[in-house]
Amino acid sequence: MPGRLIARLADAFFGSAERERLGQAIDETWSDFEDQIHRSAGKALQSPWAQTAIRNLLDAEQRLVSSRFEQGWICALTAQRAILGNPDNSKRIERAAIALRREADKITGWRSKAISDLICGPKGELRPDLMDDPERVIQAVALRDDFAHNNYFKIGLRRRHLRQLFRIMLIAILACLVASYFGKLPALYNDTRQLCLVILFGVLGACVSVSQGLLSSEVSAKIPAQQIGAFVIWMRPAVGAAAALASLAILDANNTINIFNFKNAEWSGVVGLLAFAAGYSERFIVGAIEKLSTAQKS
Amino acid sequence: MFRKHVSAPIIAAGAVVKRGAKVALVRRNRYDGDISLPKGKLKPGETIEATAIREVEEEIGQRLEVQGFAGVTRYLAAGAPKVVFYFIMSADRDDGVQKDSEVAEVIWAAPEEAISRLSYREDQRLLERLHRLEVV
Repeated sequence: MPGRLIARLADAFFGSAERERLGQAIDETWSDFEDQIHRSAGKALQSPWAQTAIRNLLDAEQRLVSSRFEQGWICALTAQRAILGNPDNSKRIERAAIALRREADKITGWRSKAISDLICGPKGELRPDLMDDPERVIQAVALRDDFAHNNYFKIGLRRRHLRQLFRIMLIAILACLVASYFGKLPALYNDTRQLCLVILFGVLGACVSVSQGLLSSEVSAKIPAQQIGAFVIWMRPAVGAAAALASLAILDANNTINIFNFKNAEWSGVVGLLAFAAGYSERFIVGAIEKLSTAQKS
Repeated sequence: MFRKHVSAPIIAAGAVVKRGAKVALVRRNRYDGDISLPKGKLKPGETIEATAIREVEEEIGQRLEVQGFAGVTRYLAAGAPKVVFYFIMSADRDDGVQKDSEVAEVIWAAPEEAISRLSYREDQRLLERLHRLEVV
């Protein structure tokens, strides 16, 4: 019971949109599958398409439970294609082909051309023999799914790099705290209570900055872009904390070169305010990194 | 990254057994004497329908006739995804001899009572749906 409660609390705090989305896709596919089986009065359960769908849907659920979302999607989409192969519902093939012809415009590279070649005639119209040759549509759907998996994989790679960076950042912040506790840092950083205050205010500033940014962000942005952005959002409080730690160095420098026209950097109000401002300005750091990566691409 | 180990998925089959206006429920010796629809796990090489017939006949204790497909329930059993395919079956008597030692008692109840006595929400939902559609 406590385990379940902890799991629920963890899900409430850290529950991911990806998990919910895959879960919904699996639910919808099961509903669709059940509908097809009902139509056959249960007789279709032993047919090859149904067996493939069952196996892949269960695999998708297993991957969902173990948080392997990418593999979960592969299984769920394979199940959807298997259901499409139900020979008793050929109308679906026609509808899938109509939707695919439009979707092909959103797909880039050779797959778009291959989808058109599979389901369209020379003038771009849907082939009239698709109902007799459903494998063409199923193959085209597989190409579309392959395109989606490729995108997902690329996002996964980038997120893996970001996750590593996030871990390094957390370790560095933790190392600062530990070194400060044992008095191994320069004087200004050796006050652990002050350092904690700086980190906390930095995180607070970053959280305010992120929530402001989220409120004004475009919901219409494409899902792949949002998936990368979602992890950057998780990183940003850590960026804020790092910026706040750096602000201490500015205060230290102020004691020598008098940037702010005061010298008492140990006043906790000034330290906290500057840490908050540094945390809040994390957006400039993230923005600068984004600009740098864009400049590198061009 | 540590991954949670998840056991292999489980496929099972069962039935909503009708006799007149009543449906059959089973009280199990295991699982704190919970009350569920009769069902059991698929054996290698067995079809889903054959599993349903074998398991339900064992639990109810009489020969049954498959009348159609009832639906699917899904849940996690000890962390593993489990799917149960239910058929609609009819029985002609209620004094069967159970061959399954797992079953403590077969309960025949009207659909409304059966829904309230079932221990699991998934079973309740299935029976509610069938009752709404006037299948049971």
